[in-house]
Amino acid sequence: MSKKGLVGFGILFLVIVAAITAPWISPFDPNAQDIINSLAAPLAEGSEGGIHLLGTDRLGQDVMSRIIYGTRVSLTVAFGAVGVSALIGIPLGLAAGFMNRSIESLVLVATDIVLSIPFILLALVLMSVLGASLTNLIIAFAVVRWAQFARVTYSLSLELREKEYVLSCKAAGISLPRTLAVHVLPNMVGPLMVVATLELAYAILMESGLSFLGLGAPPETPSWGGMLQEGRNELDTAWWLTAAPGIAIMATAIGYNFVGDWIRDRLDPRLQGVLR
Amino acid sequence: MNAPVFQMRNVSIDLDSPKTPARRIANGIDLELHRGKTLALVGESGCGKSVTALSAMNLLSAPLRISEGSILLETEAGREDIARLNPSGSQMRAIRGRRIAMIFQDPMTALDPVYTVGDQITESLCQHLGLSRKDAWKRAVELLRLVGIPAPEQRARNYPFQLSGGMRQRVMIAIAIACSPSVLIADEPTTALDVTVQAQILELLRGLGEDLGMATLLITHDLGVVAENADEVIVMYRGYVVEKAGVDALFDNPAHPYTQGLMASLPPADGERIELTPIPGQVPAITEDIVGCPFASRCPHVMPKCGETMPALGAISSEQSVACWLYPAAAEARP
Repeated sequence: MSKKGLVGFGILFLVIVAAITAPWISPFDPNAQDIINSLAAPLAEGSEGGIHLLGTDRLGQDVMSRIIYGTRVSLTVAFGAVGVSALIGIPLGLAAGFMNRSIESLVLVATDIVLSIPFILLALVLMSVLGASLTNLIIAFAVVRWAQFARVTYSLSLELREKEYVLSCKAAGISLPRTLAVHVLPNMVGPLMVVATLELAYAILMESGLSFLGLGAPPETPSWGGMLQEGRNELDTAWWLTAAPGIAIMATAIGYNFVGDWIRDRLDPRLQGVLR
Repeated sequence: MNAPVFQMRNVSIDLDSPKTPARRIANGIDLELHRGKTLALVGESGCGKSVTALSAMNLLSAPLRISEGSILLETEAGREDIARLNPSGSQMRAIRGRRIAMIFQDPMTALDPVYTVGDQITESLCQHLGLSRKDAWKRAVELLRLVGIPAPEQRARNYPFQLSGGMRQRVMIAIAIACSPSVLIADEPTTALDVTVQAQILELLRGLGEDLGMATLLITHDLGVVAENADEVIVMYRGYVVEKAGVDALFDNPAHPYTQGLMASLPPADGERIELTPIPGQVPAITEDIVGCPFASRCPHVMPKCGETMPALGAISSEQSVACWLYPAAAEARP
């Protein structure tokens, strides 16, 4: 495995382990307030013992513990939202590329409409109608971002449907659904992986944006986006409140990208001799 | 000669267009394929060769369609008119790859890059013959050996990019003959290959056709290929069959001025240096409306009648027929 792949999987592994074992590895209860220790600097001692590795926020909540619990929101929203978008967008893109003209124009018009509405506005409307919860965050993301998958899948279809091996599948009596699933989709995985990794990073940003506006994760749920936005007010006095979740978001996004690169290289048989 | 396994009767192909009336791409094509024999379909680019080949498998998709005629395929169950079957229906799918198989022009793009060649051969075997994966793999290795690929056990595990062009075309042939089809359509199978490999592939195709009793429709624009490999030849021009003959008759005595023109533009095989005579002008575009014979504008023997009606194919000998007013005894106006 390449170094990049190792780093990517390493980061992702850490995030996943942290999400699963959060109650055991967190030094403090993420919602326990310790007003005396408000805005304590990293490595400060807690009033009831223990060390605040990454300091505390305005309410004296331990930043480290909140970062660890935040992996849960980050993973759920990112994978849930991107997964649902892909599940809607990819089949629609394939249908537009390989079925008849009217389906093609229907899907294309729908993607154009969805992508022409400013995303944050549409998400805001949806979140205020549906209410703030993680499930609704995922729904709001998928309602808009399926179009990105549909559009990329469609443009890849335009290229692939002209390939002779797609015609030769037809000439060999292989049905369209099988051709799509077995011969078309695997040839799209590389570019779609890239889209998915970009969308994962986008989903984290959307989560933080909506949390800032009070329409993301519910306030009692520790989320990186929410922490980042709360820390914004103390930027000149307590840098750790923004630096910690900021670095966590950045590292995770880089991890997704490295993993995406590795999967893409891995699925391209032409590169296999080079990689091994 | 015994009954043909495959027959196209009076097949016409139209190109539908939302604004203008439908354009006729191929007019009343008649052809017959016999077991173990090769029929060559010759003509320059844009004359309707490939469209005819696709229609033989009922593979045309909108805006192209078969507007007239029947395509008869001999099966155990009797004779079936595949032009009447739904092009994307399951009945048609059961015929494609099983009864009629096709080899495409460019072996570089006709194989799926993400699967090994063994996997691609087994796919069709599992699909049509219901073999288990293990049996299909064994059969795939045998097929690779049959098409002359050395070390087939190892090669079966290779991806297409690991094989040369000639090898890939051999793999394409292995896929095509996997289910022992009775008809093989080869659409310019050697155009993308270099000359030495071309000869090997054509020889392989011819040998397999004879050994397995397949009828082959060989589409090409290369008269050298025709002379070497065909038993019968059909010459097409702008959607019409203008001449149909046994291969020897055609080369000894090309009857249609277009065929004569093609021969005159070919360098002689004995290496004698003579002036080549190209056919002046080019094939009229598909959007041009033509009354009468489409070759009239380029024909050295053109006469007034040519601009009025297109003659039907008429026999000038037992194994040669031609559609040209130069042969008044044979020529008759098309119905």
